[in-house]
Amino acid sequence: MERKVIERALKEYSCADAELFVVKLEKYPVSFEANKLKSVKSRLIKGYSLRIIKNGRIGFASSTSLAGNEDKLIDSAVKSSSFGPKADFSFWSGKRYPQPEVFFPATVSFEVEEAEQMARHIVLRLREMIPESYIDVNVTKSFVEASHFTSQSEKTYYKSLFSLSATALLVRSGELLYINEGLDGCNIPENPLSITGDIAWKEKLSAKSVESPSKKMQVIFTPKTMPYLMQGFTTGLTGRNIASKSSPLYGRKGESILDDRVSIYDDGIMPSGPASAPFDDEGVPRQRFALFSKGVLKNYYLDLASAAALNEEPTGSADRRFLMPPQAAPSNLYMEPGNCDYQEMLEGIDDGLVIDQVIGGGQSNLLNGEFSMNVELGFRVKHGKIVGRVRNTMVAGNVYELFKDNIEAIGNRCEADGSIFTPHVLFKDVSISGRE
Amino acid sequence: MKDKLKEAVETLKVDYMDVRIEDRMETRIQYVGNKLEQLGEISSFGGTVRVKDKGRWGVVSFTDMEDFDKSVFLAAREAKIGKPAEYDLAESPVIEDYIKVSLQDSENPMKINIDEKEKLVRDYNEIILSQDKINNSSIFYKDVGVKKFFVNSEGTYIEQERSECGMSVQAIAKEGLNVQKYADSLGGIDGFKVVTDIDDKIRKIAENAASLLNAKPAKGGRFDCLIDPRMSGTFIHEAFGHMSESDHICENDKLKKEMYTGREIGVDSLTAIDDGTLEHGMGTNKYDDEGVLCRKNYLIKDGKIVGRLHSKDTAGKMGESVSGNARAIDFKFEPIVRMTNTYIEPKDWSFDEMLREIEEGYYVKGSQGGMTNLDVFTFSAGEAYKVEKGQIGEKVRDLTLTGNIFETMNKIDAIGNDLEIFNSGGSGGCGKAGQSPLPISRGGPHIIIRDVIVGGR
Repeated sequence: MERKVIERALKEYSCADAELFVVKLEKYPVSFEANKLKSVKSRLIKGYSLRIIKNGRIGFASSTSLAGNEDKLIDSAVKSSSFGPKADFSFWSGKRYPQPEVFFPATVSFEVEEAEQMARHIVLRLREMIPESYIDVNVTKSFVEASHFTSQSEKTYYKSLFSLSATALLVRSGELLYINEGLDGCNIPENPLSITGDIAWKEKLSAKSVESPSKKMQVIFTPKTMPYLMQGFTTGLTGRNIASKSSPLYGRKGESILDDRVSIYDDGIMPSGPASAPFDDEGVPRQRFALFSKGVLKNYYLDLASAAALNEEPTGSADRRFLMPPQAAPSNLYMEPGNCDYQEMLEGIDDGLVIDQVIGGGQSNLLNGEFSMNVELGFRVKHGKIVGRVRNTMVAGNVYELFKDNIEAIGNRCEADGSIFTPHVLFKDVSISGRE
Repeated sequence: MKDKLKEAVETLKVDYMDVRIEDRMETRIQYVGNKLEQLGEISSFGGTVRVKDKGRWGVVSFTDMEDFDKSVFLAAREAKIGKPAEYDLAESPVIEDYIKVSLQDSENPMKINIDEKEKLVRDYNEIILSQDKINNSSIFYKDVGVKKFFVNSEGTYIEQERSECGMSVQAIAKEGLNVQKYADSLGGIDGFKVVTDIDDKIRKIAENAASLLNAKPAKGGRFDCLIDPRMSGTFIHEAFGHMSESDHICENDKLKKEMYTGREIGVDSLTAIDDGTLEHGMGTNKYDDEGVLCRKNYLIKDGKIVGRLHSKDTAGKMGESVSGNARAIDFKFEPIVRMTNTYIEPKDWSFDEMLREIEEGYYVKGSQGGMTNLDVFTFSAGEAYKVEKGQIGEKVRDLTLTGNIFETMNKIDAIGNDLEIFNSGGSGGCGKAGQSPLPISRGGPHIIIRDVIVGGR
């Protein structure tokens, strides 16, 4: 049926080419809320997105159904092409692509009853460790079948996903304390209970509340908050912001932008990476490429359209949200670790903070690299020791400045937060607003 | 459709069951700079089945009617997993109703040609790009026409149509490496006219972005702030609205103690409302996504907590009445407790009187987004000005406000007489539990918040 849509678009509607992207998604989340089973859910969803090229312009239409709906879909795409974007690229018909490990049969055969047991286990364990807490746990397995069709090619991949997250909530004299941990990948984690230890440890560190001063201080961002800083770079690196010349990184390839200890990669083929796949949502092979290598700007995230606009090769970064047109976006982000042990890093702080959770990320002028966030979970460090959890604290700055000449140390181990893999990083002086 | 759905809910022997099916049509047009980035129509169809069996929920969403029987079976099976818990859903009247979009064809976004929409967006885009110092733009137009079918095992059957349209507009100004942006969104359910004839508003967005180039970053610390209606709307939505959503409260005894009805939360003049029936409101519907009639709910009256927002589930658990606030962004999701149109009621202070009250602080205008974790909130201003001895001074940028919710509610000490309410639109709206953006409105008059933490450098 999919092939026929392409053929008809070419023959009956005189399109120069056509592309159909099909996603079939099955998702099974089991969630516990406030220590109790909240719901067991399933999502069975199909999406068909059609792009055509006619008279040198792109047309787009998408729908949840194809059978019996072919004419409407082609018609709508053709109609939109009459004033659609200019087609300065061809659809990708390459037949070669890598085979990263993204499909794990054990994940697919993991039953919802097992997911419920796993979640219940985590709730019980956390309740033992932190008796006064309210525990939310989510265990979700998903199965994706993605296919890409053009007049010249047709390819499909299968992918499994497993996601586990837990939040402990404590209410203490009118203050709420949230501690989150999670694990994501294509396979079932070897030790799902490991997250309970991390949460319990952070709860212990939070027993005492302290205030923050308003001044510049040494700050460690953990792999859970580093992603908010990375967002500044990834926003500036996406094809759309480069092609439109609004990014401060436009036209600066080969220039040293960051500290030469900083190397950041996009890795779309990392084994079991949550965003790994054989090809992107335009059929272009996923790959591993440097964004910054030793501080030097190397590559942008490019989909077909932005690559064409810049006269470069696409990087396999096209991403479509359900039924939406493609856009260049990060896959898995990997920042190379340094050589500093976390304990050593902590001991290097005379008066500073460790910031492990924030809220309000992404609300500032990201494109310019600005951030200003509230510290949801952070610790005051004095003379190399954590003295308590900080309250009423904001952290603000600019990632281009911080990563240029403000890095004191880079941790020696990467940890994952979703699809972002980073080490701990200690900065020399970061603006903190508090009320000490 | 009606017979099929009715048959399904009548055959299964469970505590409760409902089915919501949606037939949606969406148009999306976006210009970025002088490039048409996307243009197209998205048609989608799908539904969600919910089954409650001895207090346990099974929820299945699907996009293919061929999967319907399987989905009902699956939901019933899921609802047998885990330990039974005994509680009833709150009662709501059994309803049979058919709601149609009452717009004339010339005003209904779903009946307007896509080329007319494209021209409108292109014209606005040109207005932005033609302004001084503007280097880039983004205008995203979206309209949605949806027909929802709802049936539940209590006997309710509703068909409800809705048509909305709106835009997110962003202007980017650049001078050397200094890049500044200003964004705004608008929308409504009153037809295509909500997005036409707004050249001045569009121009203003570009001017705001350009003027930020010369603004200095805000200085962090604690200040008295005069907050404009857009920001006071974000404040009441983020700081208190989310706290009033009972799904956060109903299972948490400690939070229940904090959020008890009658608790004094602010000055006597503070009254906050969530009104799902508000005329012209983006969050307005006749029925929510559980077939419950929408209504006007007082959250705070004269400084005291007087109510909260419910689904049938949370109202049942807490022994309170339904409020008509169970909403889902689309058929892929189950309804959860959400706000509709949320605002602070105006009182008697004039703008000038309020300004004179600020010894040293900021006048904070526009909102670039906000967030809460029910303990603290943060929100980012669109623009802000220093205020000294009641005089508005120089413009600053990158200003963020934060604080503990309960503490900050208590620091509101003047409420203006100039209520304005703003509709979401385009990519704007409210996000919760992975469901975003939900169409809502928020607003208020100018207010003063004393001694609030300003994040900055």
